[in-house]
Amino acid sequence: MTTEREGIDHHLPLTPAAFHVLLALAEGDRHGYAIMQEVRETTGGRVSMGPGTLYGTIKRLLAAGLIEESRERPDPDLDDRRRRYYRLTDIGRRVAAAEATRLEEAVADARAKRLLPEGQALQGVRP
Amino acid sequence: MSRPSLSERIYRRLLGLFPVDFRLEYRDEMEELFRLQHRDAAGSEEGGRPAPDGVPGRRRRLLRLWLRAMADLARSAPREHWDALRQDVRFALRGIRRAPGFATLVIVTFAVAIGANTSVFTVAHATLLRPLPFADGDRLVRLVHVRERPDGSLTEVGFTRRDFHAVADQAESLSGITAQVYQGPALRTGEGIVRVVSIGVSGSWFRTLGLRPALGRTWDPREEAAGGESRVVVLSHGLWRQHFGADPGVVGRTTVLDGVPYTVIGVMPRGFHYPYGAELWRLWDFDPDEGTSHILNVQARLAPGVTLEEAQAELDLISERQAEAYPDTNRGYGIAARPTRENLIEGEDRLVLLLLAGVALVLLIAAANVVSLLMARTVARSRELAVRASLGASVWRRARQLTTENVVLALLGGAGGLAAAFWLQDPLAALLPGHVREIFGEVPFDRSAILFNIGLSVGVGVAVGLLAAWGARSVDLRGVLHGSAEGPRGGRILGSLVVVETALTVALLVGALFLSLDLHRLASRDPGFEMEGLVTAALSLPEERYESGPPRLAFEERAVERIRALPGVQEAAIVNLLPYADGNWGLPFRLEGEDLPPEQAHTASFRQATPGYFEALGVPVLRGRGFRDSDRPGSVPVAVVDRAFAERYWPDEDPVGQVIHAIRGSFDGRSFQVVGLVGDIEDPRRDPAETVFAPMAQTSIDSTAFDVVQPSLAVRTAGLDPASVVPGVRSALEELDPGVPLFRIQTAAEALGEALAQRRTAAVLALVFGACGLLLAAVGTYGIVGYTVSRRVRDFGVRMAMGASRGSVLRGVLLRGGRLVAIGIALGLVAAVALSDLVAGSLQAVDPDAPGPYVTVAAALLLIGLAACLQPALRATRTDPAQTLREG
Repeated sequence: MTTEREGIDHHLPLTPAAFHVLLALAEGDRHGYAIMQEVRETTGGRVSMGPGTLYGTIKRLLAAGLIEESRERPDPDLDDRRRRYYRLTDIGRRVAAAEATRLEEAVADARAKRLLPEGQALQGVRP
Repeated sequence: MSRPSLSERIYRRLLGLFPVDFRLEYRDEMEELFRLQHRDAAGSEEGGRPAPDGVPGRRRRLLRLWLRAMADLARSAPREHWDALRQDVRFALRGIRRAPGFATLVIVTFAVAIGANTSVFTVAHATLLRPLPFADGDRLVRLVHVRERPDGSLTEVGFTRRDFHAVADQAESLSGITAQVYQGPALRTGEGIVRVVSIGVSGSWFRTLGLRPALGRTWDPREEAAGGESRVVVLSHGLWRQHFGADPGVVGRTTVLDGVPYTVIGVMPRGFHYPYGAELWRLWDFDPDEGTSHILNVQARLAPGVTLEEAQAELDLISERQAEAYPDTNRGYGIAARPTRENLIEGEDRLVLLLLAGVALVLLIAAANVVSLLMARTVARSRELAVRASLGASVWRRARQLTTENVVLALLGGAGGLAAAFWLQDPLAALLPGHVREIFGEVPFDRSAILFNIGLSVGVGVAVGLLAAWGARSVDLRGVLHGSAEGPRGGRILGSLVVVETALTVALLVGALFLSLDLHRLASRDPGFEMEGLVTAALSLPEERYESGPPRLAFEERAVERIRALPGVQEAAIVNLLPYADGNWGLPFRLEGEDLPPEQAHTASFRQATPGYFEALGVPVLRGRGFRDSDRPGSVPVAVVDRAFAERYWPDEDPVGQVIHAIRGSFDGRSFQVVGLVGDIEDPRRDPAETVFAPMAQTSIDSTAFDVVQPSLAVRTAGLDPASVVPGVRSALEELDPGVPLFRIQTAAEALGEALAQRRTAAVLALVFGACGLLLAAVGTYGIVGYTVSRRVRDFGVRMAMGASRGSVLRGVLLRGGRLVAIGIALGLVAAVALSDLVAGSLQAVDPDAPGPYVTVAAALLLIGLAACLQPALRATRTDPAQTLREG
């Protein structure tokens, strides 16, 4: 019987693409184009996913149970086509958080080893 | 919604690169995403941001978009395909775990068929496909003397020294002419004297054949000019390892052959044993005046730009000139140039072809079996498939999953087969014709075999999977979901599978039966001599001391005398060629009163032996006498003939007292008086040869032909263990001359076994294949009939409810199954007859038109086929009519 922690660790580490998709969904349900835009803005244009990569990632996240299709339509007036919206699942949220923690710890290690000067932000992260 | 732009249409096309399921799921979204990205980059009005930097900026952005889109496709499409494949494989493995019995059956079927095919492939590859170990081997030719026999057929014999030099001097169409001769000198090693296979070669041998040593060098021009005097040898890799300790400093070392010191100058690469299993090569003289026996093997390389026909034309001229210059020896002999490659692939490759055919048949039967099993199982899983279909899995996806499952099963089976093929490597190597085995060193079980195995596994898996998927495509899914018993219309396909399997098995078994019968008859045929208690061996007389007749004869007679005196020995004799020996010595002759030109002389097999030979072998002397000690060089030359000879040339007369006049050859002009008639000695591999026997004392010639310097010893023992006299024989010989080793010691039974070895292996393999085929066909028939019955359960129920008896249901099923089997048998018999020519070439003791095997196989298969239908038929009779009606 796996504990909750083990169930989460099973998914780590996430690929950068997967992590960014989860991040993009952290604040609410989105559809594909919106996810792509969100990722681009968040990373300052550094990470830009094409349709293949994006939906391949979405497919895998769906299969892993980290995201699910949303039955709601948050923007009914913007939406005149059959769009699919995605949202984080419970465990998806926790996995994203765990990954963020892991990255934070990695940054802290880098600082401790003087790879990064104290206090300097990582490039590209929005303040 | 506006019409999609050109860009969008192109992108949609490109999405075809993705796997079907992925595309079906996400195509709309990906298209839309691209459309929006395109809109942003183009800066159009429709909800996007206006473009401040005008047309060039727009173009730049669009270009960047397309580049990114291409990169995205290139990255993600392969990834999705890989994901889909992984999932299929996982699914396939899960399916295997869920139905281990079925999976095992399929895997074992594949293992047997693919493994057998891999084995035979390695043999075929070695004999038929591998390149010759010579540089540019297709330009090499073998030169032989051809002579027309009185009946018009051509016979080939070796070259003479004189003709070798004639060709070497005169031929311009050949750029290198070299001779080789087989020798068996004694090598002095740390453990004593050992006989090695040596090839005496002329100076240009290595150069002409395009061979390079692995270590050291071959002879230089100075040594070549000095010829045999230079006393240089090149070792084989095996000999170097075995007796020279693989010493890297072996070049320059001295070694002793037949008591003469030689210098080692090089070592050949591993696995090179050409010709005759050579262990060393030494520079040898071929003096043109020395003897006119046809014992040389001559090879040459076509000069650049010269065709075989052109070379042959020149050789015809040369042979005419030789015939004019030396009419006594050369009249009637032509010279023929044959491509070297042809020499390596001779009659015995018929066996290889037979094997290939047999094993391919097994593969077909196995494939048919698996297809039928899979189809049946697919229908059994139809419910599950229907559910998945209703959830959106397309026909393609199902087909791909079935195919992947089968490729996985086939690869697993193929891996098992590969292991089996590896273990079978040595027995199969024994099947290779001896001389081919020597050329290639060993049967290679290498990369090509593994690649073939994998390729065959994947190919068969895909073919079987697609066939099964196609056969099951007409599953009425909706009907299955709603519980109706309508099944696939694959019944006709399954029926034809039974027919095909049965037909193939019949063809296979008929061939196998013929081969086995032939082998049995050959093995149990009366050999014409007494095998029990007979031991034979070969002696290797060093040429330097025993090339001329008198010393050799003296040694032979003294040896026989000593061996006769040993305890346990009843009789002993020395002969040039034993029964079952390879090779032959022919005697050209004419009869008394005939006036034949030399080129139309009769030929008989010639054997020379010391007195006591017939007694030692146990050959009955039917008339007259055998040889006596009084038959010596001074007295009348005598001969003994066998029954075949007597029946051919003196069918109504007493052979004793007749005269045979030898013409041409070693005994030209001699007249032999026939003093005895003996029974025929049978060699199972040949037709009974008409043989003339002459006393060794009267026919001992100066020669280095290998059956002269390597005569054979036959010893008849009194006791039950013939091998027990061998140590005594060995020491007797050693006392006479320690440089004469004894080798190839065997009992007569062992010699026969060796002679029949190839046939035995072929027959055994054919039977094994036939048995495999039979098992597969029986299982297949059982499975298919059983499946058909289960599909027609409702039919039976209704019929029995309407009054049909169980007996009639039983008969009905048996009749249906039996009809398929009968059709299969009929087709199989036709196929067997069509293929009978292929088998007939290998039969010696059985008439290829004999009906026995056909009838036997047909009857057996009918019985087995019906037996296979019995259990399903009984199951059909156990249907409960009431229940079927209720289920409607």
